[in-house]
Amino acid sequence: MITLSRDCGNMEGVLRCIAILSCFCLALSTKVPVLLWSSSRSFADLPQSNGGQTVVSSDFSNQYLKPLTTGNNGNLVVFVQDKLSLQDFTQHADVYNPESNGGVFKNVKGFMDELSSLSLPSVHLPGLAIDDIIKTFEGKVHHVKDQDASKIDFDSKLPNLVIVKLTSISDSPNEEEGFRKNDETIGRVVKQLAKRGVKYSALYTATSSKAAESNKVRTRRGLLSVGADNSGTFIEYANGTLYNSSCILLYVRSINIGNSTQLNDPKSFTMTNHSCVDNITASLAFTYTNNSKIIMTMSLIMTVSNVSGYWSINNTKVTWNGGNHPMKLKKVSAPWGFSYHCSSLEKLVAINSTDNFTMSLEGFQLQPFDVMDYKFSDGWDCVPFFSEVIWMGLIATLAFVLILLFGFSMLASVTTQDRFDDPKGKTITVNVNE
Amino acid sequence: MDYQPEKPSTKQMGVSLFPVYFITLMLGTLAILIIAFYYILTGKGTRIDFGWFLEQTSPYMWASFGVAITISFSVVGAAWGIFTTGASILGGGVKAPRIKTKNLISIIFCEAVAIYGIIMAIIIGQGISAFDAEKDTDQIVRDSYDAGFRMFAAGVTVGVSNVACGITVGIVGSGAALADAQNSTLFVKILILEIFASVIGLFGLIVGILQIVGVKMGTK
Repeated sequence: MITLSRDCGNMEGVLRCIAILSCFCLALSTKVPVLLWSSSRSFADLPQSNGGQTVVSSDFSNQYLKPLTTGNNGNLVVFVQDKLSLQDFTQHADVYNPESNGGVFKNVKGFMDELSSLSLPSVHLPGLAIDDIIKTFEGKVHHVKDQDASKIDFDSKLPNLVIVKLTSISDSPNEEEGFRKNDETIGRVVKQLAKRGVKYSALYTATSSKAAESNKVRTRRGLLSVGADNSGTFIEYANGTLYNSSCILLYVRSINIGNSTQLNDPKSFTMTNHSCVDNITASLAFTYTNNSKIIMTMSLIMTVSNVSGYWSINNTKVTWNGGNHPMKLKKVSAPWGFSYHCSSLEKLVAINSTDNFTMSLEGFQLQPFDVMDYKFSDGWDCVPFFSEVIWMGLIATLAFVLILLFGFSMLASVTTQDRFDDPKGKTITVNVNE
Repeated sequence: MDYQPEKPSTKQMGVSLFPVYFITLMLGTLAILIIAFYYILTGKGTRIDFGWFLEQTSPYMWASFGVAITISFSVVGAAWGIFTTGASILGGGVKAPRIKTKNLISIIFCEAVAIYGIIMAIIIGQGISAFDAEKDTDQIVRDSYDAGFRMFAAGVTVGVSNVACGITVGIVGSGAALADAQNSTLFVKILILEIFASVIGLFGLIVGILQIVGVKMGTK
């Protein structure tokens, strides 16, 4: 047995390499690290993985799995869990401590350091390669039950393939505990194999580098009911009405029609039409009922301009008291990725200049595109930080201050004339008659 | 004799003013940098918008500034010139009283600069009138904004050129007074210089009038 200390050969180097290479890791969940170690075999014949390189499944099968599963010592123990990535190592393996023992990956680090080992930081879908080899394996395949390897019956003439399915990380209460448990399982199984004197190579990997999307109910928004077609509902939120869907968010504290009527009851809003099929147009229509009678309907159509990247409300129709009023809401506009916010959007008039209908929206926030996680993005406010009035005042003040400064500097430069002063001459005396 | 702004002197203040200016400048720069970087790094760089500023600020502000700059800068130039010339005439007149009457021409040239300023201020101010941004037609609103900017520009033109003119006439007049006190044949020749100096103020006035011609603010 030759222990080679290659660059990424020992565990500390592995962890350091992994910490550096994690920057190159693409965010795809199909690239998983693979750790190999063996008590009986050197890995000199297996090609080393280059930085940033992803080993393709076929290469992984041919160049790594096949040599490990052929020959007399071709026993391969495969430890598979559901999630493993470089980030897990940097997070839980105590990598920034030069004297670390591997954190939760204690046993794995021990094996990688002391035995001959090889690490492949990025392999494309190793789970598939392993499934393939299970199907085409010529020797005996053992699936370990209850993570106890003491009862496996090893065939001494043919290679054996032992699959140990580790507990799922995403189902564990927290990831660190999951990794620690799996690490203990690995340590236990390897000890059992060592005790039986089996010559083996071990492989530690996972089926994906990211946890599967959890279907847990979000307890924070217990009131939310999302329809099957992605449409949302109006709920009361923070003293106003919030329309909550996965692609359009609308919040309004009150809609004021004319000078008098205020529509602000969250329960009276009902959605009638909602569509956001692509990233270019979105539309929303809702009604306001009073005593089960519809008194106002409003429909908004929002589009994104492909020239400026700003979305804006293109078309607004309001019906009130039976009258149809297409409104001018062009000023509601924000760049892609921002929501539009206005504390008081007043004097909204109809497109038709003879129409006397006005309305105003109080506490208004709208985001029709690029909604992430049911939250409003940064708000693009209708009032800038320095409004134009403030700028005018600042300019006038600046002019005034500059003039004053100039004047004061002129004043300060007026000095008494000391040209004819003669300290050695006679002082002037003035007789003052009382 | 002449007003000469010196470096901030330690003799007067006891401590050099340089650190004060430096700290003020650095604080101002830091404030501007922080604001600018906040906007840029949060993706709101388009909110730093000079076009918005020019569009949204009222044309009345620009027009009023134009009037103010016209008259105030012209008066500053004239005053500077008069005080320069006047000090020389008074000083030279002690030993050569004959120069007093003749050299009043220099003072009159300086005064003319102030007159240019007030004429322009009145002409510009006459152009300011009311317009309604919501009810008036688009053409009138556009013309009103145009008028605001033009009045500001005319004011700056006339004001700054009159400052330069006034100072020039003043210094030349001061030299003329003292030369006249020495040798009375020199005065007429030097007067030609003063005429040239005075003409540049007239240039400013002419260009200012060209800028202001045809402005139409409001409906009147």
